[in-house]
Amino acid sequence: MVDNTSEAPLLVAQGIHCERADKLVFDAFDLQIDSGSILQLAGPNGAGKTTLLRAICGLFDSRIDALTWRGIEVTNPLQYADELLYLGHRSAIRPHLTLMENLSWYACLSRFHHVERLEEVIAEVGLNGYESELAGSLSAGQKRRIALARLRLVDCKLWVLDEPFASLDVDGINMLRGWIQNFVQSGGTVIYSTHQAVEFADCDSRVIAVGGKR
Amino acid sequence: MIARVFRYEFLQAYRRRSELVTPVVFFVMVCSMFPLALGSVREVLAPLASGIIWVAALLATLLSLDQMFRQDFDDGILEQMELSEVPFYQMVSIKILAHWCLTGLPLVILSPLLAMMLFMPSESYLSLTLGLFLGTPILSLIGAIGAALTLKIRRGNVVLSLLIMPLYVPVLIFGATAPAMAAQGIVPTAQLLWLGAMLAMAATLAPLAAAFGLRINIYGS
Repeated sequence: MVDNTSEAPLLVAQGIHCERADKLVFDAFDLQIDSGSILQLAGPNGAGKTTLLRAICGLFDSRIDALTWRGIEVTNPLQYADELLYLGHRSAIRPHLTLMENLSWYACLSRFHHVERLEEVIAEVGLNGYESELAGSLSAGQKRRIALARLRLVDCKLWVLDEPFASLDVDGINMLRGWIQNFVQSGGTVIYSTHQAVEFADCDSRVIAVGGKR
Repeated sequence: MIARVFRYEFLQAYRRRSELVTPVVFFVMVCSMFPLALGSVREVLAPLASGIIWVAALLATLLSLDQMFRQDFDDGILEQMELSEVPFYQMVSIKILAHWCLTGLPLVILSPLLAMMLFMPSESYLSLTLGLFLGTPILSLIGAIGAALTLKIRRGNVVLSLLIMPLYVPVLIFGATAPAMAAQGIVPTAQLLWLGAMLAMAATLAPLAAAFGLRINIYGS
């Protein structure tokens, strides 16, 4: 079993069934995410990209026939939730807390955090000088950057990113692309959805089309 | 970790105090309406005092419930809590505790002053304050279940009131009769023990139920 975990794909979900507002979004959809790879979900608006990402995080009421995480069978995605980082449309930023407080709050949700890196990470996302500003007073792009800063604060195996490039400027897109490349090269795995074409150098990346049947 | 999570919950609630002050002001206002309406007569107000304070506390709590989870749900905070390694019901308990500290606790602290205004006999003060100290957390805890279930309903506070009010009745009965008994010279041990027992039950079960209700809403979004 121990050998198996290093060889096995990170996540295998067979037969994902999702219903949204009484409409079938996925019926027996299979998904396999290999360790150290980048998986991009592509598809038109409403195809179910967000639903699929939420389903594999355990944030959507879906039925999955067989689910294995690093070779170990699990019944509920929430069993491995502390090993993944989900960044959704809702950026999970508290407008009444400052930038610094927001990030340290987030860090204390996980065992594998790097609070000591806080200053460095804030500088990296280009928000130094805003540490004690209330997050609610920052712009949409800046809020996005706060949300992204979490990727550098917490160690995990899998990044689940829903439209991570939305409302980012060119610098921001390059920064995030660099992070994803570094993360994957150091053994991490990324699954994300986007409408933009983003190229990754030296990475095993794959595109999955979602919602072709509809 | 729990202590730090609580700190940020409290801080956030504290920064939004304009919303939180409303129930406290409401509580004081309702209590001060009675002397105006019934006349500032000791014989009239003294027997009613504990009932007035308890009903006002109950309504004030009801007023504050709607905001308990809404903003965190809209911001996506709750889904991150769900994904964290701290069990979700613990997170919900912490949120309820922070909510009570800023809405329930001020009512407890203010209650002796209002009791004085309503000519409550001085031997009843202790049982009123103790009763509220045990009772207001129950109100917050039970209210959290309703707040969690009505999260998606816009203008949900009407439904919330209808849902939660009947569940508040036992708390009200035990809470309001304790000071009345103390005024007659009987120590209201039974009432306070009942409130304590209800608090123990609510503190263990209500966060689980509220977490379940929140999860339904997270799944459906």
